[in-house]
Amino acid sequence: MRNLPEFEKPPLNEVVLGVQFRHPNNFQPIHAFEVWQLFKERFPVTEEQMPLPPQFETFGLASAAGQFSLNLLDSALPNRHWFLTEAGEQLLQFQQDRLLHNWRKVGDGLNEYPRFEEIITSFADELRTLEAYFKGKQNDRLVITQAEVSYINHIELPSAGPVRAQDWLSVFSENASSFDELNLNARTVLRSSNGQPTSRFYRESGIGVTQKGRVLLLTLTVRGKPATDTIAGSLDFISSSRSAIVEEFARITTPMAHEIWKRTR
Amino acid sequence: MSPAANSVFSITTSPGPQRLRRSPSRLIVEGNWKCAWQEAVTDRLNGLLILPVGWDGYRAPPVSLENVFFAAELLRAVCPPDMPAPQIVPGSAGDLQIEWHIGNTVVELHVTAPNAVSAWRETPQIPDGEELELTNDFLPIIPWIEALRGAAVAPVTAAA
Repeated sequence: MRNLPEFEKPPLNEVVLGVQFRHPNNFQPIHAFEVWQLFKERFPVTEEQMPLPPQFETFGLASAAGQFSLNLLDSALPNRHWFLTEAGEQLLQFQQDRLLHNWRKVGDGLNEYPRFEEIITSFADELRTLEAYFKGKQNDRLVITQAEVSYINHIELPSAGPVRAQDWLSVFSENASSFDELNLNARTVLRSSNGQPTSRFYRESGIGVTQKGRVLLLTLTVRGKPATDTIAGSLDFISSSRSAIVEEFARITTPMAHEIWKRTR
Repeated sequence: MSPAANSVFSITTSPGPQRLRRSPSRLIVEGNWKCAWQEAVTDRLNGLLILPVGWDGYRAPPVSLENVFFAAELLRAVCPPDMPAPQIVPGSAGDLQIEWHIGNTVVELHVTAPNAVSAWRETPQIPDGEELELTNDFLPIIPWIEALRGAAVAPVTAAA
């Protein structure tokens, strides 16, 4: 395993690991209660949210971005369920074609990030538990169609005044203008060793306001089709994508920021 | 949709002009209107979602939501804005097939499931046809679509 950059106090606010899978046979919305029972001991609190529409990374024309997309409002998919820990700092998001595991800062924001290795170990167990449940409904296994990992950072800013993005993001030159508003999106196609496109790396940045005040949002996401459509394939995808995200985070943030976040490697 | 939509803090919005369409059991919002085939394809995909069970006279289900969304992403990846709209035909197992028949050229893209597409084409130069099995990388069939587009434009050019 390569040595990844490390920080004692990164501005990390949320981490999401997720998979999308083919809709299993013999599963109806009412069975979501049974799925909750599988995880209830650790995630005893529930909420319902609007469903996430199906999502696929496909590759072809270079100019395809943004031309056409379908979105779903309501009634065509059952709701998404959140299963939360008591404190709400970790949750599972479940719907008939998705399982995601989120860690987030809550309350006073002092809850420490448990580190990737712990979260992916939990997620692996959760996926296997879910797969065993679906096998009980005459399905062979989970067939994974997409996997993803997101790291969402909140960089605290002064409460007022223009923002010097170049203090935090190395993509800006030292003499760049300051901004009152910022919305920056970039994406890259990631390829396998034989040059085939496999996934996309999304970088989103903008100035936002949270309960704690004004922040510079920096979200790094990798999403795509794992090399194999199995749980093992999706975990490999998530691990390698997370490595890419951590390296990119160090690359696109500044030495000054690294000092504030106490970079140790 | 923003990739951060899976964040518990995110609210997704769709950019640009939109049109709402209500059907008996579904509500789907189309995306931006920027290409010639978009409206016809959206109408057709909406229709395939709400097919009644047994629409084929036996027990065929409607086309599955995941196949509809995957087909939309497939078309987004291969279809230039000025491409003629394809025919989209439902299969008997929730699958669908995207077809163009232009002149003596046929291209068929059979979506059996997300990341599982059988691509076929037949041209005067390839009378026995050729087939490719694809997942989510549709670069190999871009030349097929370009050739179709050329065949669609050629009669107009000749007339001018």
